Amino acid sequence: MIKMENVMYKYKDNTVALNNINFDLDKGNIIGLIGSNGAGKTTLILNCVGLLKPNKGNITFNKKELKYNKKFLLNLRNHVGVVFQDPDRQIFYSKVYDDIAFGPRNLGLNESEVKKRVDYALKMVNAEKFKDKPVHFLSHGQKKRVAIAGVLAMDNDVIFFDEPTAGLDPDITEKMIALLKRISNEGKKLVISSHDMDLIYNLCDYSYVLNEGEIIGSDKTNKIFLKEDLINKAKLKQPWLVRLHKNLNIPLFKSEKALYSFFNQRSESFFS
Amino acid sequence: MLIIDTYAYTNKLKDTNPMLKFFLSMGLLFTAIIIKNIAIESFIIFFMAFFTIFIAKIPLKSYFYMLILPLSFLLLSILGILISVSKVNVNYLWSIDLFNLYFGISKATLFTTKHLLFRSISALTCTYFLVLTTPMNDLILVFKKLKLPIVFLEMSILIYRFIFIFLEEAKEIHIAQELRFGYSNFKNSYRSISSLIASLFIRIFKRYEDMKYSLAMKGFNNQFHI
Repeated sequence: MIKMENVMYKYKDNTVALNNINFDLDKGNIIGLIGSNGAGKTTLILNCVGLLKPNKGNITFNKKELKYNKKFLLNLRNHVGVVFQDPDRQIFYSKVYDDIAFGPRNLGLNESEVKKRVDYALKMVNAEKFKDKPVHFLSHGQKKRVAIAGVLAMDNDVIFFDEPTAGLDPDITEKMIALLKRISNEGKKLVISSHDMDLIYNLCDYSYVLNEGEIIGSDKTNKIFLKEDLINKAKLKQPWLVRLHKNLNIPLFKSEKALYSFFNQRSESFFS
Repeated sequence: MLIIDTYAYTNKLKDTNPMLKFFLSMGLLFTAIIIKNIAIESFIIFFMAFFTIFIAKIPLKSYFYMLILPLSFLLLSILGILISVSKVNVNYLWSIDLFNLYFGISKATLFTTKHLLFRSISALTCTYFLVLTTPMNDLILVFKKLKLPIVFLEMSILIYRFIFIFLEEAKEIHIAQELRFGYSNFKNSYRSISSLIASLFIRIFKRYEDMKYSLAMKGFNNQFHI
């Protein structure tokens, strides 16, 4: 898949946005990309998919070096999709169906195949209820789902999510997490950039920590969050389950559910 | 957000065949333009208003408010046609004499004005019937069936989507300014409106950059499919 080696990227005003980045998509199935605001998460994604060209280092896709010609990029983007943060900047049609069909139609698929893909994507994001409403009548969370459906319809192998839960309320965040899990279960590889530590801890199996344009650490998710100094250096905070583990000396749980069921079992044996 | 757009999606005729609505309103509009007959024109006005208010159930009050704006323009321009100026007092039904010039209404101008007024109002009610009962997206499908040029269709689709993005941005900036007394007096309003325009301009360019990225990711090949 995609691999970055020693990548350096400078903005036009010569500020270094990414420096000495080594990033490998084969490390996990759901990969976390964590870092504070302005750490370079989005820039890294844009470099990965050939929207920006690094100043130094090389990026390979299936062991072939990235070329910036139309043919190569089209093939790359057939395999890789990006869901950007602001849905309004990804939706071009005021008709939900047409917007989701935009990508498949660009691929030159026939209308029956396009319809199949759109229906599948609508079902995945649970957008069937509002599919006939015009986009400007939808809420932010609904627009976000439409934007995701638009990428899902492309049927990529890898999908990058840039801050998928930013600006969403707790209920919709829960639904977003469930959706991300569902997409992963369909056999797609996900890369999730976020500064929501609990989200990354819950979802990802491998994580990269980004700070001021450099990757300062990467490891299996349950291991990397134990490194408190590293997390603090990146101006982030450990997930609450990890903090409980550290400060109250209880076992480390992967999810809230696992924690509750552990204590429920213990209290049952305690009372009986 | 736009009242006409909201009604287009909520009226009782929204699911009626758009082709039918299009040909009904456009048919009557052309009839009103071609046939110079006040009886027919009044019939069209009555017919279209009746359809809009009682069948599509657009509230009477908002319907009148929506008509007032174009009507005020109409009345102003009609005054210019109604009153003619000449050096001699001939054929005037009513006139006044100012500095040896006669300002007045003649039979001919009265006739033209009457027809113009009825014709414009009937055209207006026809157009309003169409835009108040037909969602833009349905209208675009009608245009597509009528084989209008692709460029025109693409433009309609994009403009329609972007009007709302633009309005939302403008509204956001306006509220932020107003909350900080940006429009408390004339001088402040003047300054606020200029910075509103400037920041809208900058935001639009930023948006354009981001949209280019998502277009590229979706394999855009210079055509918006409809």
